[in-house]
Amino acid sequence: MLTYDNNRPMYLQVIDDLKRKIINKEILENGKFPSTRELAIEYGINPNTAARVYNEMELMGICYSKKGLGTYLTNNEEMITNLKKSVASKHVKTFMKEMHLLGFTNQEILYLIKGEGSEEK
Amino acid sequence: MILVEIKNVSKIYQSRMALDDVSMTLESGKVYGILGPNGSGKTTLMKMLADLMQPTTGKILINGETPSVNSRQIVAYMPTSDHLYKGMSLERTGIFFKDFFDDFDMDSYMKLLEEMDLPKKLKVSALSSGMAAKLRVAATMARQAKLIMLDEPLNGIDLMTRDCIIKTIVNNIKEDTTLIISSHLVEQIEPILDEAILLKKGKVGYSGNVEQLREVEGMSVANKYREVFGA
Repeated sequence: MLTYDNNRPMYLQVIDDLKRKIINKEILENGKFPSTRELAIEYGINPNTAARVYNEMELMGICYSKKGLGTYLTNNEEMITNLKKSVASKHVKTFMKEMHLLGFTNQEILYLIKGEGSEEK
Repeated sequence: MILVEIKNVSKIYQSRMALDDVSMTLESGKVYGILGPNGSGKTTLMKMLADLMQPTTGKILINGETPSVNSRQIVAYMPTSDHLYKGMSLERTGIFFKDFFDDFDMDSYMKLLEEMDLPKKLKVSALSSGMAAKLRVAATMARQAKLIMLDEPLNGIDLMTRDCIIKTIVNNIKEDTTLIISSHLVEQIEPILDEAILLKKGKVGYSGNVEQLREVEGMSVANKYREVFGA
């Protein structure tokens, strides 16, 4: 189960986790999301929060709901590519901000990343 | 839909003011946390909703009616103290509850026992305090009541059992039920709440939607609690 930061809205934290799953293709047979109730149980959140998760993701164009059938992933490679880019860019921005606070220049940061990168894989 | 209206309610025990001019409305389909230290009025408020106690002044309406024998049929209240008979098996306890409450659902009771790993043949007297706490939650949540109140369901219970109880509560929240949970274990309870009501010395110190609190003020319920009750 997710460890929550109680200072941030729960629905946003669940959306972030679902985005990661979508990007990693962990969602789901026929692109169908769990029902609101299943989502609530899986994430240990209340059903109203779970419903909000799908409402917001629908507004973002990530999913759509079929009346009486449930919530489905927007079947569109472009959406998933964009999602991947936007999640990545968010992480990079946070990282850059932290590094700048530590006094690193962009060049030094690049140098460090290259070093880390060569150790892995 | 509004299920409960509390209008300017005060409760005085001899000279002690347990509740002081409290007003609030509770909607169906939402989970409310009544939070505050001991003596802040949480149990008093719940007992009045359960028709176990009358307000000194002010008015309470449940489903449009003053609490009475009638409203008891749609209100399920789990008190803090042990309220089950020691000599009965867990299965028998279910039958006993079924006799009292038309809305007691035996199937969901059995399912709840299973979910929480409670053997139905066991007697209540053989339960550990953690198991007894689980049983009390099961017996209360098995009612198809419009208003379900759990008074301190996590009190004096180890971490794993607390997790189990919270999970069971989440699994059994119904769309048209109003759920009230009182606790002073704010951090553990806040992920499953819609609304938090902080009682401070019998008054409402804060009340609001928890997601909005996080979104607008960037603050957890626990931090709000510290702000309200801190020195």
